[in-house]
Amino acid sequence: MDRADPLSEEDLDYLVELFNIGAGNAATALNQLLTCQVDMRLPGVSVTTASLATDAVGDSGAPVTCLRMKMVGDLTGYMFFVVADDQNVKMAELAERSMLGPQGRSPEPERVSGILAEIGNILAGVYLTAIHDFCKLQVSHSVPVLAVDMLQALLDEAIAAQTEATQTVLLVTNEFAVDREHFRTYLLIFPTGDSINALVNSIKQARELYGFKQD
Amino acid sequence: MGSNRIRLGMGEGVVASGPHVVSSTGIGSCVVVALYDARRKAGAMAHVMLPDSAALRASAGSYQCADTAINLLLAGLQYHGSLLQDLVAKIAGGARMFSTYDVGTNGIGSQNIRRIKDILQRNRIPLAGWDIDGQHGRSVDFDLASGKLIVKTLGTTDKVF
Repeated sequence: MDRADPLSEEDLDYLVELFNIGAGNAATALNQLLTCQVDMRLPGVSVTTASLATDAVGDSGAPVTCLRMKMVGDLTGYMFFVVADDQNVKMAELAERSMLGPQGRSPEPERVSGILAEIGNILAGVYLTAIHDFCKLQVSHSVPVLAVDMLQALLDEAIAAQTEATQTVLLVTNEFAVDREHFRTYLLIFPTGDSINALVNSIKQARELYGFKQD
Repeated sequence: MGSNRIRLGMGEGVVASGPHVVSSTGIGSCVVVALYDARRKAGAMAHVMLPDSAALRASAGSYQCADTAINLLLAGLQYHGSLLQDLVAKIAGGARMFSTYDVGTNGIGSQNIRRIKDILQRNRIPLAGWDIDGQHGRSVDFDLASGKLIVKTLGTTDKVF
């Protein structure tokens, strides 16, 4: 695989556009999961480094809830769905309430993990679908595994795996609101090996062929 | 001349003497290696990410890999007057942060630990304390005045050794 040229402004716009569409699908999917109106802001998308992404998520010593998924196929590497620790219970309560009606007590800790795994699964899935639809790359993700700990400790293995080939991390910030409760979640995509080149090359090709023409 | 907190990020290292505290946080599968010379009250610490520099072309002379990191720590301490026989080592980290079925004891954390222990043994540096393995992230403070390593983990009491 030839080393790709860096992403141009237009390439980046295309990437943002396809993640916007992914976000739209995520909102629909979350509407269905939570059986209520989910208002989703357009996602923030940036192509960055692991250390900048970690800083963007927040205090590196604070605990976060994190789901890790492996990417297999045309893109390899890891995806992490991250929720700050003060939000995870709120999110699970919301899901629980919507599924079972008002409960009057918080869900059991095991339920919280299960619900967050479902939400993370959905969000990861819609973005990979968008990548498939717009870049023609076949990628699937593994069943999410959950851990709660300091963000850097949870990411360090993925960061170490990237050391040689590429330092690129895609950071997608999803903010959504349900019943005036506001949530912010992060998806960190760590491509490994040559797959970052595959992604960049396919974005460039797809933009040539299908690109959103706006002059 | 008060004491100083020196912060190490992933893949970084330092050699120092004086009343300083060397800190590193967010240690998952990485391993922090601390070497101490009680005679000179000098120390060196590295936040190691990978076991072997042979697999990485560009990391010669870096603290990222166990072998090159420990070489740098030893060279630094000896350059400033430490004798090999005065050195002891303390290590922390090497956790398996996500439970998956496909890795067992061969995750990167375990590989880092094995390699570091092996290199220390070959250099005849005794391991004076450790807090390794497990499934939790760690933060460490290495106090150069006393040589103590303080290891913090979310939700449990600090370990000091």
